[in-house]
Amino acid sequence: MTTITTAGIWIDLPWSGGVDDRFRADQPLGAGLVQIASSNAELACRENNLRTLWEHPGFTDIVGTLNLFGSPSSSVLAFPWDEVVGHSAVGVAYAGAHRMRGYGSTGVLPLITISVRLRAGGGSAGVVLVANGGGRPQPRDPYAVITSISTPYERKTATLALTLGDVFSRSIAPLVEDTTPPGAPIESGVDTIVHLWVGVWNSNGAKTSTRGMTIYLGAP
Amino acid sequence: MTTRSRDLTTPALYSQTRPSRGTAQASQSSALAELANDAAGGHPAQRARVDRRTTGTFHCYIWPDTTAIYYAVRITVSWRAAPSFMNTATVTLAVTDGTTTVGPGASPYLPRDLQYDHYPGMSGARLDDFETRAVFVQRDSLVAAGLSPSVPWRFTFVVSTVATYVEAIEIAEVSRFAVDTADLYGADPQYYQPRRIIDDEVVAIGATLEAAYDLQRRTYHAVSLDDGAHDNVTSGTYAPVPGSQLESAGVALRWEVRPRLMGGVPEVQFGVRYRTTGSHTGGVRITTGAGTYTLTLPTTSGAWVDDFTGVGYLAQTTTDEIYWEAFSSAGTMHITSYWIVETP
Repeated sequence: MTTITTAGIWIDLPWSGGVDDRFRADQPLGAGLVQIASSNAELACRENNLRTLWEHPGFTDIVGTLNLFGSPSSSVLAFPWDEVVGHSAVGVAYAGAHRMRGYGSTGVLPLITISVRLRAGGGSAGVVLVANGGGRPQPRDPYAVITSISTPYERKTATLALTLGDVFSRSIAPLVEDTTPPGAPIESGVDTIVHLWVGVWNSNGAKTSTRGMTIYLGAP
Repeated sequence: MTTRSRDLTTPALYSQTRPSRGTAQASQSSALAELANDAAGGHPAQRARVDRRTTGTFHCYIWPDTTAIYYAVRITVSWRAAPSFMNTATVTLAVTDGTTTVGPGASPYLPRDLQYDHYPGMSGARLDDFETRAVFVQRDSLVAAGLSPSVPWRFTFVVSTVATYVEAIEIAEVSRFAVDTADLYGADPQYYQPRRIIDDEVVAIGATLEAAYDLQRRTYHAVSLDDGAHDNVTSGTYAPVPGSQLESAGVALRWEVRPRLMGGVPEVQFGVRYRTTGSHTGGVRITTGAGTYTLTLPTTSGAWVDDFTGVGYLAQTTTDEIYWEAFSSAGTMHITSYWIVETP
C-alpha cells in the first residue's frame, strides 16, 4: 500500500493567532486540516534537516604520488591522514562533527554530498570523504571517492549514504553558568552525530588543485 | 514557565489513516504535536567554522532569532611538527550584537571551559593526538547579558598557538530537547489524552508549524578569514575576488549548496565583514541560479564593519551554485568574512 506523509510542498494556513486561525478555539478540527498540518510538519522535518555542513576554499598544488582506492577499504587506512600542512603531498581536512538525523519520518538518513571544483593537473587526482565516529578513519568506515584526470577545473560530486549504524550519540546537558552555583541545564538530551574527513591526492606528482569544496545534505 | 522534555523523534503520520468522517484518535493529535515540535526545533541549520590555523582573529555569525537555544562550539587541536609537553593552543571567544559584547576571557555568560588552554595528545601520530573541547554557548545567557536576539551575533575567535594547529573551530545550532511554555511555539503532546476535551491548546500546533517555517535559518555559506590575511579588492568594477573566492585567474569560485525547498523561492540575506582603506566605497554581489544581487558598501575609512543587508534568492532546484564578486571605487577594500543565510 502506498502511504503518504507529505504533499512535498508547504501549504499555507492562515496566520496563527489571527481571526482566521484554523486552530483557534471552538473551531472544528477537520480531517483535511489535520492532513495539511501533518504534511507541512513532515516537509519541514525533511527540508530543515538538509543543510550545508562544511565549506573550504580548497587545496592548491597537491603533488603527492598516491595511487589509492584501487583496493578501497584498505586505502582509507593507508591514506596519510597525519600529513602536516604545507607538505603538499596530500590535502587533509577534518570537516567536523555534524548532527545526522533521519530524513523526516522515513528512518533513512540524508545523503552526504561532497562537491568540489577539481583539476587533476596531470595524472589522476582524487578526493575522499570519510564518515566515522571520530578518530582515525578505519577500513570499515563509510567513504566516497571522486576521481578526475581533467586538466581544467570541473565540478565533481560524490554522495555517501549512511545507515543508522554509522552515526553516534552525543549527550548535551550544559550547566547554566551565569548563576552561583551553576544551575541545572535548561534542557538536555541526546542527538546523533557523525565526524567527516576529507583527503585530496594526486597519483604522479603533478599539481592537483581543488576549489570551492562543500559538503551538504541531500534527500535520500 | 514549564518545560516538558522531548527526545528527538519524528513520528510518521500517514494521510490515509485520517480520512474524512473517520474517528479522530488522541494518539493522532499527540503525534501531530510531536511532529510539529520536531519540525520546529529538531533540525536547526545555522553553523560556521574556522579551518586549520596557527594564529589569527576570525569572525563567525549566527542569527539568534531561531528556535535554537544552544550553540555547540567545538575546538580541535593537534601538534604541528612533533608531540611535546610544550605544545599548546589558546582560543578566546567574544560575542557581540554590535552594541554589547561578552568576553573574551572570563565571563559568567560564556562556558568557563573556553578559558583554558588546549593541550594535544602525545602518542606520536598527529591525528590520534587530536584534542577536542566541546562547549555549549547559551543564547538566553547572552540575552541576559544584554545582547539583542533580533540582530545577527558575531562570534570572534582569537587563535594563538605554540607548535600546534587549531585544526577546526566549529559552531552550530543544537536541536531543542524540550517544549517550553515560555516560547511562542511548542505543542505538548501529552495534552492529547483519550476522551479529553480538546480546547484552545490546539492553537499551539499552528504556532509551532509557523516556527517550523519562519524561525529557521540555513547557513548557505560562511567563510571566515583571518583579520590579518583578508581578501583584497582593488578592481574598480565588479570582478571575482582574489583570494578565498577565486578559482583561477579571473574566474570566480563557485560554491554548490542545497536550497531549502518549501514551495517558495528560497530567500537569503548576504554580506561581508569589510573595511575600506580610505574614504571610498565598494560593493559585493552574489550570483545564484536565480539572479545577481548587489550590496553597496559605504566607506568605513579603515574600520572593520559588518554589513549583511544584501537580499537575494536561490534557484528552486535541488542544488544551486553561488559565487561572489566585488569592487572598490578607489584604493583597496578588505574582506575578512562572507556570510549567506536564509531569510524564511
